[in-house]
Amino acid sequence: MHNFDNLQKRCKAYRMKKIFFSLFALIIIVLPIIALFFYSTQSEDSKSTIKPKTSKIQETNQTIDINTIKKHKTPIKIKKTAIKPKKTEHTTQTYALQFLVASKKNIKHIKQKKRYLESIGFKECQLSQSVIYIHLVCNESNNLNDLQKYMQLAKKHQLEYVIRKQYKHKVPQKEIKKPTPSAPEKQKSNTVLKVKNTNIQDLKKQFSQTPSYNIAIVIARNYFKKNSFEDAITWAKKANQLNKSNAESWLVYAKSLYALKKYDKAKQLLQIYQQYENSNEVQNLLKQWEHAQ
Amino acid sequence: MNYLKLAQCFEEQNSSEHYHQNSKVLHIKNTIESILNNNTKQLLFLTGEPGVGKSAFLNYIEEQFSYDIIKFDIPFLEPIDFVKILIQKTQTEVANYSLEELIKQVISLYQNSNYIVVLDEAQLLSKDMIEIIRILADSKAFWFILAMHEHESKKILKEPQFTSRPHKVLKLQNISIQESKEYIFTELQNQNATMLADEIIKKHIKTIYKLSKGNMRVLKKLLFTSFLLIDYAQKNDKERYKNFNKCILTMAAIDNGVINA
Repeated sequence: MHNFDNLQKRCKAYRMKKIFFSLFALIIIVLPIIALFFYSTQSEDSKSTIKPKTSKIQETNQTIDINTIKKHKTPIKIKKTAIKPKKTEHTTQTYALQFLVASKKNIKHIKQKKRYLESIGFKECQLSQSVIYIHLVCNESNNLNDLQKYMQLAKKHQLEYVIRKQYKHKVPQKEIKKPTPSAPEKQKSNTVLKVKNTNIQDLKKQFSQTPSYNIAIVIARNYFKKNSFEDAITWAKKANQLNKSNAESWLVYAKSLYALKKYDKAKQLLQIYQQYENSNEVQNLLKQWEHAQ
Repeated sequence: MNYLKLAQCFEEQNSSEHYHQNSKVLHIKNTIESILNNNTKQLLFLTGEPGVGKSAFLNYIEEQFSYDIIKFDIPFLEPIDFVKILIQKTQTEVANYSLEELIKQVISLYQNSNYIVVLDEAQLLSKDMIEIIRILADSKAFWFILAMHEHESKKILKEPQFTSRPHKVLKLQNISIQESKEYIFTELQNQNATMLADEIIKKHIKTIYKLSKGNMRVLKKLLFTSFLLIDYAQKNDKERYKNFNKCILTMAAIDNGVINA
């Protein structure tokens, strides 16, 4: 009659085959769904993330470059991408180790990280807050060498960091004659640049001989005062090319755009700067514009 | 429970007593009866897929109809033998004439009778046989019922000798899942295995129907083999296979070539 044992074996083999194909089919169906899910989660992440890139805002022939800043939904470790200004001859610098840039909703985690960093020996850890992000910065110092041992400490604990440089500008004495009494806005001590009784043409000539941030920004400001916003933008860009970290060039540029009714672009510009450098003045201006609209 | 006995009731057999009358079968039976009562003598084609139950249906109508039926199960006939058999059925001696003369004789013998000539597996008939059938059908001496496979019937029905003549085509279709349930239940109930019937219908009817695709022959074969396997398992103490389950069904399907494993 029937070869029962043979049938038994064939039946088992068939069932195994069926299970295998069912699993295979399941994987084929489920895999794209998982991939889609991850893709959607990642794209959500990327919405709240500043990716390391060089953003360029181009207008006329000039370009303003913003060096990289990374932002994640969850706190992230930052790659070593220090910002290098092209010219530093008229600036003093402070250095600090920046460990995190993260959104405000991760404040708990950032505080934990801060406590951890302090517990392993980092000093003066601060949370500096911008409009959207919080920066965790430790060991601020005027001398880069002071940071060496902390950099080693970070390496020892396998912590990723960037050396955050902040520039404080010193205006060459020969260029600064007297503070401009009618300056349109208050200027901070570290970015003060006041030129009095100086003709724009002279300043331009002077700039062509020795290109300097301070000269460029004074020219930009003067043009802004004269409501010559296009020229103000041109010179603000020139100033920015020489020093990207100073808020002044950004402000003049943004205000000029705002005056030219390019509101969105003006806001976007300040937001980009604010993500990089935390400036109260920029923050206030942004708030002011938001209220105005 | 005697599984061997249960197997036997699903064994392939064409006897009319085991024929399961479902609604489709009854519909075709009534249609044929209606044609026989109201129309002139002509050709009737009973088509359907192999295993759908054509032969069983022919056996069934042979018993059910009041008409005289001459049934040919073997299609490999020579025209002359076919005509001779028809003559012999009337208890008349076959005159040793030519085929032409024999045809004339058979027509004259059946001219005023109400005979139905039934030919099973008609798709296997030779061209000469088809020609003889055409001639006899034209004489209006007989009703003809030709049962043939669905696929081949399409080709045969396209032949000019059939397209130009009055004929009816009746299609026997595969049974539905409900009809499968009814069939299994009736057969097992007849063997006093109502509980087993309930269990099979409840748990396995979908698998059985999926495997058989409503084909009566496959359905019977599956159940026949399944019960034989259970019988074997019980006699040889194979614990896992002592009852009707999916594994037994799969084994039966493999054994019958329904599943290629």
